[in-house]
Amino acid sequence: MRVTIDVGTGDGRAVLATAARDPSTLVLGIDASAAAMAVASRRAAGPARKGGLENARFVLAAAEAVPADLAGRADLVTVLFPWGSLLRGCVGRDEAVARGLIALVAPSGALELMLAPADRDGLGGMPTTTHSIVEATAPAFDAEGFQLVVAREATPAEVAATGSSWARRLGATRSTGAHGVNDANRRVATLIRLARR
Amino acid sequence: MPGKVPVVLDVDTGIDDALALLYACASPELELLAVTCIGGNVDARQVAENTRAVLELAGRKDVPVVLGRERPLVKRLETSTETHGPRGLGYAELSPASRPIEPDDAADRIIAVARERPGEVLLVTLGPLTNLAVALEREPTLPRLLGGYVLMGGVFGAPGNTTPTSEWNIHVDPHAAKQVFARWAMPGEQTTALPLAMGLDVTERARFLPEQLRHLAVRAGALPLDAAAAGTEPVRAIGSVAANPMLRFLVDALRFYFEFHAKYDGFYGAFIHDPFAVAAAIDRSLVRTQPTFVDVEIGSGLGHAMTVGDFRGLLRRPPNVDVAREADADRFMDRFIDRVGGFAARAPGAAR
Repeated sequence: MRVTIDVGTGDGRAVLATAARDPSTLVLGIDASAAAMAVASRRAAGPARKGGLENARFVLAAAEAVPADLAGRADLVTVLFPWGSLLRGCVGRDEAVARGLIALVAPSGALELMLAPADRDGLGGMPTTTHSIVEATAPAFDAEGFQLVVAREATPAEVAATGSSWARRLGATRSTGAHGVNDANRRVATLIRLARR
Repeated sequence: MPGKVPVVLDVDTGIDDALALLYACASPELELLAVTCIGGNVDARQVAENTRAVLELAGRKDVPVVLGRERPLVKRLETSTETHGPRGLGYAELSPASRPIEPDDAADRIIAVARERPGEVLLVTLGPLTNLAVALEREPTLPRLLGGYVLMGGVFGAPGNTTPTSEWNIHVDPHAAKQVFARWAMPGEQTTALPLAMGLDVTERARFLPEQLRHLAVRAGALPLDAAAAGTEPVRAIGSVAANPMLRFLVDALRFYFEFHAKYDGFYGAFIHDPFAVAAAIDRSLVRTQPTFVDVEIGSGLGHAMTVGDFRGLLRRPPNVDVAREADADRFMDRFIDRVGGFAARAPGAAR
């Protein structure tokens, strides 16, 4: 069975959405907050007629301290719309978090990041354009044996398909401005996929 | 026709792309399946216009022209009208294309033709690698589905032509180039044929001079005078008066290209990068190559969009690109004159 691990899953909706879409994949959500995952976790463990999903499970752990049992188990690790230390880990500014993410990825696995920081978040010098996000992320993971295989602005459909509630809340689903010119208030979702060499 | 190599050209037409299209049309080894368009020298829609106009000039209305992504993956689109003229074909004026662009997308077309004839189709990219990067994302096994891949792009161990470290096609979309090279570096792709990279350092050996244009005109059956409008130095000349429409196009497009090179490269003539890449794709004996690990710098410093080839194997990574290190420009130039001149001689409306 393929394994996808969603790190920093929050309310776990993205896990439920992925698990429902692909019954042949075991989807694990990891978050440091049990409270956030409680509803989704209970729903997944419940009966199928009430939205139960045998292939969706949740694990309480911080990204920088993932359980050793999960090391090297994920064919795909996803990080969707992270903030705080998880976001810093994705852009090469928190080594412990980055190491945690990398540890989960199987030898021929991949890491997929959907990042949408914006200037108005007041993140203090965090890269907020697709260009600067990719520039920060690629070398951080390259040094760990990951190569960039996809880097571009995510489409609104892709953002919606993540099932993440953050996507909507962050307003990242708005479509690209005319001619792709970034206006200052538009939040851009950047899709990055890195594969082990 | 059996025995011909089915080929897709991905172009950003562009004067030298136009020369490459004519060279491909003039080459009996190739079966031109489709031409896909990407923004670069001019924007993608203008590329599609120019490409269809050039193919119609060549009598190839049958070749589908497919529009690709209209901007790079990450950067804003830069174009180079200074090099190729306001609409991309120098001083040449071609009749507007009479047929529409195909309804599908360039990346999908590349995938579709590769799937239809697995292991056969040769892809040649002459512009930024955006369409190919999109295709590889949609179909990660594309390297195995293609029969071969040749690119004009990058520069290896020599100065760039866009910044001191970067070549134009890579500079326009370095992220796409990085992703393309990464796909051939994936552990699963080690058994597939490596892409052949024709970098600036080899394509700049193909210097097309007014003298060669006169040879081409003679080969096309015209009087040497017909090529004289190209001049011998950068002076504003009148348009070509050649009776042969293809020759007229070549002279008017190249005169602009010659003037650009006189201004920036110190000689009245032009590097004809793209047809050299097509010629090497047909005949590998034109180049000597070295399998090399290649990656692209996407950082914003001095090395932005630099193609880095690890020729000494210092990084201990398996090769993902077959980099042309030497190329027989003289043999290519003779062949270019012979083929394109001969093609012009047979062109519709060539009779004097």
